[in-house]
Amino acid sequence: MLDQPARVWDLPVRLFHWSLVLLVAFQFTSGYTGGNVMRWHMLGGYAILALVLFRVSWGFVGSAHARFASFLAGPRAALVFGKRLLAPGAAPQAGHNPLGGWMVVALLVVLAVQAGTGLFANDDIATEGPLAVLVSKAMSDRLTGIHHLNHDVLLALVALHIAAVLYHWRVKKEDLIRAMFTGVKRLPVELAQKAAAARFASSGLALGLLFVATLVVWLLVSQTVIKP
Amino acid sequence: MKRFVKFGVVLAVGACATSIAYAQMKPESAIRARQSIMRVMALNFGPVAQMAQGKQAFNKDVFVANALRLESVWAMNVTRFFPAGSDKPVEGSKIAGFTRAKPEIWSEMDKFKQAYDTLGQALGKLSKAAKSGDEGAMKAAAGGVGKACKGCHDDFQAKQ
Repeated sequence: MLDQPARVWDLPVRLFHWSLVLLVAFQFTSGYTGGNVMRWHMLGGYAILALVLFRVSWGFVGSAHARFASFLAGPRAALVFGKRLLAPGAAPQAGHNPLGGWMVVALLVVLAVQAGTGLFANDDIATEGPLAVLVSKAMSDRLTGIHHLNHDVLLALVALHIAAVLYHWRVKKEDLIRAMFTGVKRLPVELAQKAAAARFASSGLALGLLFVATLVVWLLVSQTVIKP
Repeated sequence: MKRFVKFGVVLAVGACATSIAYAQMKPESAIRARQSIMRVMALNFGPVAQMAQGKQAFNKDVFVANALRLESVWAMNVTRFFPAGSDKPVEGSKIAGFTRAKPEIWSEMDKFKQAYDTLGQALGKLSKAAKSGDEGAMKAAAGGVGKACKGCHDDFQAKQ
């Protein structure tokens, strides 16, 4: 019952994940700092928006393990897996496990809300999002409030995510962090063989989707199409 | 000498009167006054911050004029417009229907005044940099002002 290495995460997913880690960390610190660094905070927000759009599209046409259809499970499956996780013994999965899958969705949604509300936010001082001109001050203030509230939700999810990954690593003996770097997981033979048959989408397609996502964000924020 | 003394008395009484007047200002007037001051501050700081962040073409004359105006407006001392009872919006008022003043303003008045001084110092640096004409220094000073605004807001202004 020796474990075999199996490639599960393609390059686009791995680059996406770690870019997000760096960007989100930067967003938290730049948001707290304020002042002249807000210019970079806004650029960071646009980048995250583009990445989220990319990942959603990749979730439909990307590699097998990146697709939502492959890892989204119903509440019962998630509950069953949760029990397995708490019980002793390994619980390996090729791609995202049922709980991890919902964390992916939750994070994407919360990040989209954060970046989206940020486009309309203002700080009463001198910084405002590129779309703040489109709405009333009252609406911009309301969306700013959501931006602040959602920031706490994001922080909680990130903490939960890190805790879960550490639990998998230290207790369940699955090095998920290494896997997200190398793309390779050590899996039981049956799972490894199944993973070997999984289809990988081309990085060229990913690059194309990322380009389109960036273009969409640029059109949204550059005030060339949406004029104040 | 007599004229000098008379002038001094008038000045002293006037100063007392104004400070008494502000301390007993109606909450409705106080809320309106302090929000107006802050709005004028934002109006003048807007272009300065936009230039500092490179979002607007740098115009030295506008920058200098606004920096000096910010300093003189701030000298009105907005901390004087927080009489007791002005922590709540005035029901049905068209000019004081809301306030984002946090209770900490009254419970930590010393810290509040310190935040006021901090911004005053940042504005002093801004004016100095503006007069020097050094674009880099002006942008950096603008960043310092934004930070000081945010610092006080984080502690004393209720979030939306």
